[in-house]
Amino acid sequence: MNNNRILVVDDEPDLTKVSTLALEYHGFKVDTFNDPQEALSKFKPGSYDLIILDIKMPKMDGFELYHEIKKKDNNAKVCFLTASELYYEEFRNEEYRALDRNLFIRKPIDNEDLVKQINKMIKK
Amino acid sequence: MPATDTPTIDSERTQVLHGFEKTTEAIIGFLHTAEDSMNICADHTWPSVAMGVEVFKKELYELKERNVRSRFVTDITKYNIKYCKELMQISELRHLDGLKGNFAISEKGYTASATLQEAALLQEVIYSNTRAILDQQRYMFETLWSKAKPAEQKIREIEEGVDFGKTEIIQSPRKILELFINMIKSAKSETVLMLPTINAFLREERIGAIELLKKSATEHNVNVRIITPSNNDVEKILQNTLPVAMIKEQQENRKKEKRFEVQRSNIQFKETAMTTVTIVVVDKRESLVIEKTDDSKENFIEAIGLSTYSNSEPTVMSYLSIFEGLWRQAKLYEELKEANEQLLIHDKMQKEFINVASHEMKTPTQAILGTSGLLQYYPERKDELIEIIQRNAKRLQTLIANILDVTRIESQTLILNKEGFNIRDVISSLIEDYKDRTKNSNIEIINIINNNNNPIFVEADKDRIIQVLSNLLSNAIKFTNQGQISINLSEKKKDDNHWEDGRKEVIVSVTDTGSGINSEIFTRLFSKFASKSYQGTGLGLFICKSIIQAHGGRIWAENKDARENKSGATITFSLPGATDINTANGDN
Repeated sequence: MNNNRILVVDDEPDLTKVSTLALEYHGFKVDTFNDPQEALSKFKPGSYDLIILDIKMPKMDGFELYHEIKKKDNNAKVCFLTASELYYEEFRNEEYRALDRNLFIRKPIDNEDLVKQINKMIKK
Repeated sequence: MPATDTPTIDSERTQVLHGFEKTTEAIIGFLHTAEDSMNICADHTWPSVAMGVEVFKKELYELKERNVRSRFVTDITKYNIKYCKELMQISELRHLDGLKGNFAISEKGYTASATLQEAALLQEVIYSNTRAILDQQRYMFETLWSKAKPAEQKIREIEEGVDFGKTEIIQSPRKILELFINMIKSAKSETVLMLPTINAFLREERIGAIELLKKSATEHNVNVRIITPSNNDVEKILQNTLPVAMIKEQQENRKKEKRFEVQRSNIQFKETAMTTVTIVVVDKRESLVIEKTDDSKENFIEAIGLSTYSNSEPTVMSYLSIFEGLWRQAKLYEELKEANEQLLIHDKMQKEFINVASHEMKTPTQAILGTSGLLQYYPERKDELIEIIQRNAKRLQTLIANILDVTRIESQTLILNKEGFNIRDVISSLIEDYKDRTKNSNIEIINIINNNNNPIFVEADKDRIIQVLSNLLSNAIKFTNQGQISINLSEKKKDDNHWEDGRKEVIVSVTDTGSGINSEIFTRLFSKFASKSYQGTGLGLFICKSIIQAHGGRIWAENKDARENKSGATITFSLPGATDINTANGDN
């Protein structure tokens, strides 16, 4: 049991459910939100070892949420779990350029690989 | 000077006469006394003087009556041709290109005048009866006469358009300006104008040339075409120049030839000198090429240098073909630019499509991959997990079907398997199906069409119509958290010419009390990727529209009036009805 705390924000309920079950099985403590605005309003600095954000979400996309979370907690570790295509970067070039490429985990990914990636990021 | 006082050979003299009265008297006397021969050589204005001034005309006709042998040489042009034809009644007439000076010799005397003015009396005339001068001038006349060509030939050339015109260089800027304006004013069918710089355009505007061109286009039906470099100032002037009525006419009837067209010369040739002259060609008959010497000058007269005027066909046609070549090039450039823009839009849409489609594929794939892995961790939650897998597999299936449909539509290989069927039955059973699916939600589906059992036949692809209806119902459910969804079915005779006589139109509408259609996407609702939902590719209504249109029907959307405090949307489509059960020969 690792007791690491993870926040997952994704507008797809099936995906947050899968992430929760998979991560809990590997000993993580998991909070999830399907509504990014609700996730932001309930966010408390220092509560998570890693925050995993979807990018394409209604009302507030993953990049906006990233900046808002960083405003509240500059030390928060945030990464993205996204189904967007690589050249979607063309349209969102500025956001992508400002961020470390290693922060992006691409869907689809199986549970074991996801856990490996998360552990790697937490240790960084 | 009465005719009887006409000098004779006996008293040889040479004198210069001044003033209308004296010159007229002298000439009349000269003509009147001729008995054997009358040889006249005079410039292009002479025919109008000879036939346009009554006293001269009378004397000339009398020459014929007295059987005096007359020979006339002049410069026959399209402007004096009618006088020349008259002169041919009196005398043999020949033509010499660009003839200058005027003189006449009879067996008795010689007269000459330096300048002639059109159809007017003469200011100054030289008269002589000196033998030596007569011999000398007779020799000169014979020389010119032998070089001249018969009037009949020249007249034919002019009338058939083989006018060997003139080409001349004009140095006076004022004369150039006057000629330029007169040429534009005189245009009967076509004016083309090519300008070298933006400043040249602005100078032409200042002298009123652009306004005149507009006038000749609107009032005299002259086709006006201009090639000019352009900037905001030029565009502003052009916008004001094109009268509203004309723009409207052009829009209403695109095929109608445009009378005032402007091409922007975006291509500049640095190597060639195309940028230093203004070229104007009128009616394929006259050209004027104006050199520009100082483009910084605001004033037309200060900016221009030498000009070349021509009404000689080879020159005029050459300038016209230079214009036509550049015109075509400018047009092609416009078309190329347009095509390139379309290509970029298409390219962007393709990328957008792949991005949306792949996002929509990866999301359920992630759910399926993750959930199937969870089956090993939580075998006891198998039922719940399999439900997630099935739901996402269905989502993938729908997406794949949609993408295949779009591919069929765009490659125009959508094939309809039409049959006659009762659409009332189809809708009823579909509604029952959806009622079943929504029984645990806050949505009530109302089956209005059950109130009437009259069959309504259509001839259509049943599966495709079910696909459209399912799509509309799913959309209605998606955007209605709580409320009602109703389906309406009606049939009406077409009163316009949309379908042939006797055919009916079947109208189906799906109405919900949901959030209504977002105004941002309303106008492009039926195009690809028009979606405000974060679940969905925005392909559904595009496919619906394509299917309905392939059947020859229409589809449209309406929002409920927000002012009446109602929300919700109605999507309606129409299909051509089958006239009766016989045409609807399907499986009823």
